[in-house]
Amino acid sequence: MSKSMNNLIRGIWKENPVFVLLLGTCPTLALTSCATNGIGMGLATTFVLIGSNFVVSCISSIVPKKIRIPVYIVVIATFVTVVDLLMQAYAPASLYEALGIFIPLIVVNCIVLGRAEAFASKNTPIQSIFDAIGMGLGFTVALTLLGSIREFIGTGSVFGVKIITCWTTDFLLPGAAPGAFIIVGAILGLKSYINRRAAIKAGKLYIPPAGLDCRNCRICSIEEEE
Amino acid sequence: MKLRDNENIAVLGIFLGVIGLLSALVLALISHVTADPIAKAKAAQQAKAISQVLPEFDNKPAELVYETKTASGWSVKFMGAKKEGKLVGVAALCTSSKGYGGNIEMLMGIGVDGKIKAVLITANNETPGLGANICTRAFKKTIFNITKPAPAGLAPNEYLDQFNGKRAGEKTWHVKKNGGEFLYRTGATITSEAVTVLAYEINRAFETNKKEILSKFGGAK
Repeated sequence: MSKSMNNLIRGIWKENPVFVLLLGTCPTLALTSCATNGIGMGLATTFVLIGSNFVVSCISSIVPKKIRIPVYIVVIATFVTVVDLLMQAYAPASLYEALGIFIPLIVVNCIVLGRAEAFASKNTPIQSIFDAIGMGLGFTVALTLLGSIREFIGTGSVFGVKIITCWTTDFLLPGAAPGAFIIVGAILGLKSYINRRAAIKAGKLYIPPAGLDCRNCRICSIEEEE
Repeated sequence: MKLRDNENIAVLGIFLGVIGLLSALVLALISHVTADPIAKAKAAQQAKAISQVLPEFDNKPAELVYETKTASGWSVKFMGAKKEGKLVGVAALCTSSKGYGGNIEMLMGIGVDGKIKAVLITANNETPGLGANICTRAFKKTIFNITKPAPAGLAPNEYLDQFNGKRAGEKTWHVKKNGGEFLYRTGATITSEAVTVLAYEINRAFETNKKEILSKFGGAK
């Protein structure tokens, strides 16, 4: 149980996909111009991640190592398209309106492929689902936080609700990609600072993540076998 | 030898082929099953949009259609809305390719007299916070009215509402910056101009084809 719990919660802070693994930067920067978009993209990704992690960990024992990446991509793309079609057909119109535009984008989201390769292909289906939920939640929390900050600085509102009512002119920088880079950088710095303070208080030597790396993901070095 | 460690190129090729075939089968099945519900959901969505730009009607406008081209060659679809057999208005759907971020799709409600009733942008890809503000109608929510339900009807948008009650004449509409009379948003002139010209072209296409449209829809006096 503690292993499952660990798999579940480490995606939220310790191995947060956006702020620690630095995966999925494209949707992170492109879609978080407001808080609603952030939560929509996060939930859609979580859903696909659970499905793809489960399927990949089920078939990983029979997939030849040499062609595992193309096979995973086909499986993920199929799963995303199925979800897209089912949602168009049976989900309430308002839900599809809100989430529909994000679903096709998940195919090219490297968090999904990264978790399939780094975790699901080496672990049991149950553990993979826990990992997917944790990573998905971490992604959702990160995107919603980023979206809220960008929306607030840009227009004075959060989730489309104006907090500062006399704010009438939109400030465009936070809504555009450069502003997103600046805010992500600030959050990364803050997170590093918090971790460092905690380490110093505990009397330990703070070791930053070894070059903000890709952790266990070996997609770029398929040829090197361990 | 286990399949997992197999490196024979023929085996790998066949494996990939089988996976591709399986996914194609699954997709074909799902696509077949969902085709009908998707068409229904889309039709319902369009009917809802039409009901926002036209007065009350009781027929199915999507089944009473007249298609033609505007002056710029964009295809425009006119749909007749009737109440108790009498034509109450025409909804027109047209896509412009002149937007800043690509296509802008507009749904326009036109009265039987040819005057614009209301305009709705049903699809756009403009810059968020700038061009997109011209295209979206949304009630402003603040912390003071958060619990109040949104009022019925269309939310106001000064860039879209300026066409209401207008009728396209010989002269093309332009925004003020380009020598016309219509409002535009600084920094989003291209979007403003695209919306203005699109509104003109749809209404103009209705004017030039008015006879055929009205006789087809049974609204001729």
